[in-house]
Amino acid sequence: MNVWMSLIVSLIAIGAVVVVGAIGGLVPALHPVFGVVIPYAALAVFILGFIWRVLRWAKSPVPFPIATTAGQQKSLPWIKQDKLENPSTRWQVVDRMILEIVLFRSLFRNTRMELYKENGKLTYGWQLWLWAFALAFHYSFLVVVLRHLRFFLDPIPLPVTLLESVDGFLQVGLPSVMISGFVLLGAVGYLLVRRLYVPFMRYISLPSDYFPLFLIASIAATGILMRYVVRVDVVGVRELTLGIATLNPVVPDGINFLFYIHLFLVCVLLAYFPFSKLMHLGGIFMSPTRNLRGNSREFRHVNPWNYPVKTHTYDEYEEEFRDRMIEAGLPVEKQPAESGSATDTESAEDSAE
Amino acid sequence: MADEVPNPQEMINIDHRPPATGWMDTPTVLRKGIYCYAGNPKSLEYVGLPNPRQWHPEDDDWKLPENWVEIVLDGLRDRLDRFRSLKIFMDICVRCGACADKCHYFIGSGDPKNMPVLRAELLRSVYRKDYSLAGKILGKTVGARKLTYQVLKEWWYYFFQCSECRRCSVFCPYGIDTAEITILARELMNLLGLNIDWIATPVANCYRTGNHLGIQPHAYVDMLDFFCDEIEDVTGVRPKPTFNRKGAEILFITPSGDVFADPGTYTAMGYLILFHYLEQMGLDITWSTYASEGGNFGFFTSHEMMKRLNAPRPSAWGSSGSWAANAATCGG
Amino acid sequence: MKIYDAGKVIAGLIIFFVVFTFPVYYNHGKVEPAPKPSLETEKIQSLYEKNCVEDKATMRSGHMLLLDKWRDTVVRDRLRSYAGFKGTRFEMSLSNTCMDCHSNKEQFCDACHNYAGVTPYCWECHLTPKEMK
Repeated sequence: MNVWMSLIVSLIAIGAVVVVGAIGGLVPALHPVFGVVIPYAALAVFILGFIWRVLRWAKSPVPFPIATTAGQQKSLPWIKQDKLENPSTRWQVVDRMILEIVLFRSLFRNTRMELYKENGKLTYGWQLWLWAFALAFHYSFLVVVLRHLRFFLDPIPLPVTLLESVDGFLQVGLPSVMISGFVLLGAVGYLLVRRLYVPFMRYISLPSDYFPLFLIASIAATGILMRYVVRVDVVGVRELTLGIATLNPVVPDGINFLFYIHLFLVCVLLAYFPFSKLMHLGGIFMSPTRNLRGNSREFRHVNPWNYPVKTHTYDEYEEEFRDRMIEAGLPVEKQPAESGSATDTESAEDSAE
Repeated sequence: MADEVPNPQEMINIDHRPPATGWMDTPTVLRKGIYCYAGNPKSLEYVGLPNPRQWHPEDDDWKLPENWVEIVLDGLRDRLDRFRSLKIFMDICVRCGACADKCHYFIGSGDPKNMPVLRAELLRSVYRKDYSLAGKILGKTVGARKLTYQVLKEWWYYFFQCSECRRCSVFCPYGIDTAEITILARELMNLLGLNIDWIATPVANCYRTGNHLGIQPHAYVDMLDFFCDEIEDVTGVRPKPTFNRKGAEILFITPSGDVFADPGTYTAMGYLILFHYLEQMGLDITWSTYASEGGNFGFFTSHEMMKRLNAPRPSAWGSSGSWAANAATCGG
Repeated sequence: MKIYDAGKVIAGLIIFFVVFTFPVYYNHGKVEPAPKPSLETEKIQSLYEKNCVEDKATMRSGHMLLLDKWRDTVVRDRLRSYAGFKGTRFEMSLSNTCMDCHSNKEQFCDACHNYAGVTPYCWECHLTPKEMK
């Protein structure tokens, strides 16, 4: 699939979602469906789907310790161990994983390769754009989601209110512009542009790589439109969301159809989540190359599905080479007289040198 | 082999730009000088690997069993059940591209299918078609494709271009390890008898003689004897290595390359000199001709072969009742 | 069906489940009812036609847009006269126009603002006529 086809397919998919959401918002009879039924269904699919996917991974064992190590393993006391690159205790693994999950450690060491054909020199330059914007994207998304808790919790806990005041500390506009929404849109925009601009990114991207970006961009865009441009009935929205959160659904009138588009986009994201690459949320915790200790020299790991294999035993080895071993003065287990069978066999003429 | 070898100026002209056609639509050309030759059927027979036969990568017909698609897909499903790593790596790649320019085979060849992300997609696309409902229905739209003869040839060409160095895994945010994927893809190909001689014959040699060069016990002793001559010429002192000695305190196993070729030979001579000193200090060291390979060449074939080729080591330790010292290998 | 590392996996999944269904237990089914902003002020009750500057739906969702526009027009253009949706002219002023009718800030403005969990910083300066007295 080339990039144009991928883009067209994903845009059509997003367009379809937006149109369906709009219909749901414009037709009052459909409000209960789009405001209650679909959110519950999407949540169920998300939670059950996520659990199912993780359990499916967990059904397979990790037979061998395959931590990715990029540093010195624990060794003699006078050799300095690289505790994060080659963890040997559970806590070191936890540290490594915390840095990975909270600060995207592996992306921090990203480099860009450049080959100078004039003199054949290969250079690596540090490149932090992906790290910075990936962090910005994920953290702004987190802040946006946490802020939205004000629609689902009653009374609104202090941390959420504090988050809102920090997010709106610039005090620009009425109501205050919350930075996180714009950072989210900007970061998604960068990731999308990067995926389209960098040649190898275009080459490897599938429609299922563009689709979640468009989806999240549309969610951010409709959210921004609702808050700063179109202005929706926030009280009505909160009635609806609190109804969902208390399992006591209610659908007030007069909520702008843009809200239903936004809600439907979020539901699609939730329902799409377990079937897509977005499962990296769960996967990163279970990746054997990151959550294992590099202690295969310290402890014997036993493979749960270990089975006996056919090996070339020493007896068989000696059987083949006994004469030459004796000639070379090597110790042998059995003398030729004891072995009983002919000594000169086909082994002498083999291709092995 | 000496025909049309380009000069350095030509060779550095590596184009890292991807071609205009999508990777699924770009046919794989098995370039001479890039692919390695097919495994010698005698080597496969020696270790009991399936489908030993004479074949050449540039042939159209690779003489596979009739039901090769079934064999591969069943093998894939079996490995997904046995290896959590494969299952997770198939699912969580987000195609961020952090790994893309990290593989030195991509840097050296400019071939985009050597980018770790694409190398994994070669397998992942077939996994999607076979394993996921969306893949079965939506096909190419979700990056799924059927396992065809061309796809299999592509697998062979590219999964034997990975050296399983795991550099890509260092840069991946989740540590997706192309080496793991490569080992498992090679296991699938070994089910059909698709391997390269560069690996298959060393494996057979390891199995038979204990080292990948096929050095037989008397030759091993002879070579080390030659090193002792050299050392005596230069220093006036002659080390006296012992072999296969039961009850020694320390069993030393080095890569067989050290016994065979420069610069490893200098390392081996270094060991001999060091052990001569240590033995005078009271340590008791022996070499083994049976367990004479520091690296495990099964690593390039399959997990089962790793275990089979590793067998001499514990058994040699057991028989000599000693501590083992395994010298680091050149790459295995 | 065997699950490997079951302890850690199940623990993680429980945390996941609790986090994503958190609102259900936090609220435990009881939430404050939807606000009913009160129009019981002397000024409103004495009006012949109880109309605001714009219609109810617009005011409900768009009063901040209106106030923002009023603020810019008054502060930058020094204009004060605004034509409401029924043609009536109003002075563009939060304290003098809006708060004149809606002098019951707690029962009117705050009812919805508290419900929605917002604290408009306008009140840091603009006082109701009652507070000014």
